[in-house]
Amino acid sequence: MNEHPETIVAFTQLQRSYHNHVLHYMIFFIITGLPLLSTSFSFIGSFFAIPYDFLGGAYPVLSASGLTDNERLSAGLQVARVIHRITALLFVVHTIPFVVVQLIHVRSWAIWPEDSWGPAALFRGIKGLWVNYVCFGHVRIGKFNVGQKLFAWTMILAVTAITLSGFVLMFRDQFSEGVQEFSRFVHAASFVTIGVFLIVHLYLALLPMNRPSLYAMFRDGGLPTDYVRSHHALWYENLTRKKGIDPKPAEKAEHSV
Amino acid sequence: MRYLNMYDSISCLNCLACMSACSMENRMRLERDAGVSIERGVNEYLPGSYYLRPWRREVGKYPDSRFLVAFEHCRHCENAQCLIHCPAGAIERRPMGQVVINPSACIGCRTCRDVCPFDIPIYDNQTGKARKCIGCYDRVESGMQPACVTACPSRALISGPEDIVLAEGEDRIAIYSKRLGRDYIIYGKDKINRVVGRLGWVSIAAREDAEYYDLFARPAKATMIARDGLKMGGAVGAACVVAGAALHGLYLFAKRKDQVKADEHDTKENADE
Repeated sequence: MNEHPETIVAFTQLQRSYHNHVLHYMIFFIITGLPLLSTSFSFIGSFFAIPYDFLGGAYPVLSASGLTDNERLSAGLQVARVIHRITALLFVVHTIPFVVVQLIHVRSWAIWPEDSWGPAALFRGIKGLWVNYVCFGHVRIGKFNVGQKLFAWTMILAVTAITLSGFVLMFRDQFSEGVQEFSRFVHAASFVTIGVFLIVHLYLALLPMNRPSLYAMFRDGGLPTDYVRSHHALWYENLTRKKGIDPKPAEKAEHSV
Repeated sequence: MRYLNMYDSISCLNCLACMSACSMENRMRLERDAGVSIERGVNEYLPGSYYLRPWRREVGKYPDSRFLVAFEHCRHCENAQCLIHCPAGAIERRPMGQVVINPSACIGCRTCRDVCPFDIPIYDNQTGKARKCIGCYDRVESGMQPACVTACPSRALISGPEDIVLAEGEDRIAIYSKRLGRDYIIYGKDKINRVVGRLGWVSIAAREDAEYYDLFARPAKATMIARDGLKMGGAVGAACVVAGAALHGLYLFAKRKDQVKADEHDTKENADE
């Protein structure tokens, strides 16, 4: 960081690359997993029968083919399962180096509590969220607010659970029936958790007030220094203290929480 | 008309003729449906052809123990969880009530096994599909009886229209109770619980032995119930989150509108000055 640089690196290239790839993986996981999770999404399963029909060459595409409705759904689900498993393999291959690099820098993770732990700190953080998203003010926070930290921890746990249970389901003959059934429940529970949190994540990421962070993630990873100073005062102070630079006078947060 | 099978554990000789007949019938079906020659069908082991699986169990403590044979077979539940949960729609209910897996539509995901409270469907590693008793629906719909019923020498297996079979069952348990002095039940005659409802294959057994015959008082799989609850919870949770986001978006939009109005007002006042 220069003495007073224009931008501050919020997300490294590895983080941005991983985030963007996970976004694609999630799309494939969701559209191929939903028809297996619930019969309410069978229509997605039937959709996957179109390439099956097309590649099979035996039946005209999108017309009354030789397949019955059930066979069409069945064929589509087989295609979906294959895509789901290939995506899982790519996801794991992509995730391992990312996790290794992140674990090397575990001490610098910005998702630990800022100064204190416990219910009081959590309550303060939640109050901060209210100020931020309802009163549209700023509070003194680090790189992430408490909602983002809870989201990050939930995702870490849920993704770990869904990966491990997915491994069991992919090689289910190697495990007892009890483990298989439990894994199926864990897989579904993790997916539901991830799904609900993703909706919140998408909504908040697209809010105008969070646009600089959105741009940072999908462009060069940099946040304007002035934005960091006003919106992430604690993070800015930490950065300047570490580099031995006198911070510019921080704009006073509208609300002190 | 509902078609019922009934197994009577008291009349049963444990000769396993039913099991042999079931396997033989399925080997014949192989010739009919898959073009497997009869010679090959009868000479190979074909474990997948056995839809009735006997389990010999010792009940009580030696020397006062006794043996009984429980049969593992599909019970063609009224609320068949396999049929409800099969993502491929590969399981159907025939007009006479038999719950049948359609092998050409089965994708081998084993959901049926995971949700069946009696652990009946078997995954066949060779075919990559699940299989279970089909209630000989093809025979029944052609006016015949299931193969196992035809083979039973002691009429421990009977089948037919629901009212006739249940009337016969009631007569039998009245006789057994009177002569043997124990309490007998027709398991599956009435709704057992919400998960399975009534059964299409009922069983006569002494009430105190019911569990040994796998005639569970509350057949259910905790993981299946939890997963169903989870799906419902997920749908409600997602709907709440979307509704909350929509409300917050409207709130944000209204606030922004106020802000713009205030800015315009300030600009106008400055211009007037």
